[in-house]
Amino acid sequence: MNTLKTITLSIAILPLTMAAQERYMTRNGHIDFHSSTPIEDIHADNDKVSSVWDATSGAIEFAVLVKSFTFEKALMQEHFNENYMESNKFPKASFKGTVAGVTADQLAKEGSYPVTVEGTLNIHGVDRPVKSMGMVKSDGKGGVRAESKFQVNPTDYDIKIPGAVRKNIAESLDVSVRMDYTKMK
Amino acid sequence: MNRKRIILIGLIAVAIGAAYGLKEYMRGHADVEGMEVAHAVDAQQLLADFMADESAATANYVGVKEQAIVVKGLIKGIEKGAGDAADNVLLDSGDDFADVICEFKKGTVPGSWQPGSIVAVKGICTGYLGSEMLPGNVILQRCVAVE
Repeated sequence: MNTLKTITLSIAILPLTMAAQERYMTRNGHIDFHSSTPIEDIHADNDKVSSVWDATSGAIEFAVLVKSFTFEKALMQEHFNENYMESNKFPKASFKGTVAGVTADQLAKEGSYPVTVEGTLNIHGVDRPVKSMGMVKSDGKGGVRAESKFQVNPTDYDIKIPGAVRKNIAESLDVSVRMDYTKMK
Repeated sequence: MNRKRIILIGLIAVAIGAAYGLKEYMRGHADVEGMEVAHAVDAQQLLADFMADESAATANYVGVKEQAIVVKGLIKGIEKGAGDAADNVLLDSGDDFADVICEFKKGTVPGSWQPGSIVAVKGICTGYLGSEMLPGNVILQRCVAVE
């Protein structure tokens, strides 16, 4: 009887729980990375980042297509896809984790909040734990901008840089993330 | 062949090699408008193919080397990018939660295009993004209008 009660109650509460979820989404998020060495600067942008953030639980997820990164020079983009990222073998990069430091109630109002993002970054088929600080700004009308900067070391993700160009690419790449979320209805 | 001539030929070969290397290094992206069409497909079929077998569809539409495809479909919406950001034309994929997103350089979406128009877009397909939590979309970049 108790089991039956629990199941009935769970079914009754489920829609309320789901309704309480405050989800934010974008599919035009921006990620760029920059490498600077005395020999050359390398920069790539990706404006097609998909992300969903459940502000109630704090769960957040990003995904990008590696081939959506654009470089100024075609040759750099070809080398990036074919030689380093092997994007035909590993077409996507992703992040799954949690955001701490802001609540769904706070996001409903206008304000800025420092946050900590922690989770697993998958690049080139390799999972690595990452933690980064960020800033979240809500306009109080369902629009939320989230920004963060961190560094990625290609060797951590088994990305092999040939000796001939090793000095052209920094050991750590500066990564910037900017997401303009809208609240899901 | 005397020594001077050998040195001269060597220098010319190095100069040609350097010029080619520099030209390759500075090479810009291919003009999509002039690229050969690898595949022509309907927007709904494009998503259906990715949903049926993502790996096979990626191999087909994205390809190993950069290739252009033409996608025909009904415009579901047009998103104007803020500032210099690209504009997006969303083609109806037949799924309310998934679109074929066609990224156009700012200001290059034809003015006559409106939601409801049936259009053809030529662009570089970079693949399908989606998961249990993320909405699924097929992405085309560097798009140009075909009709």
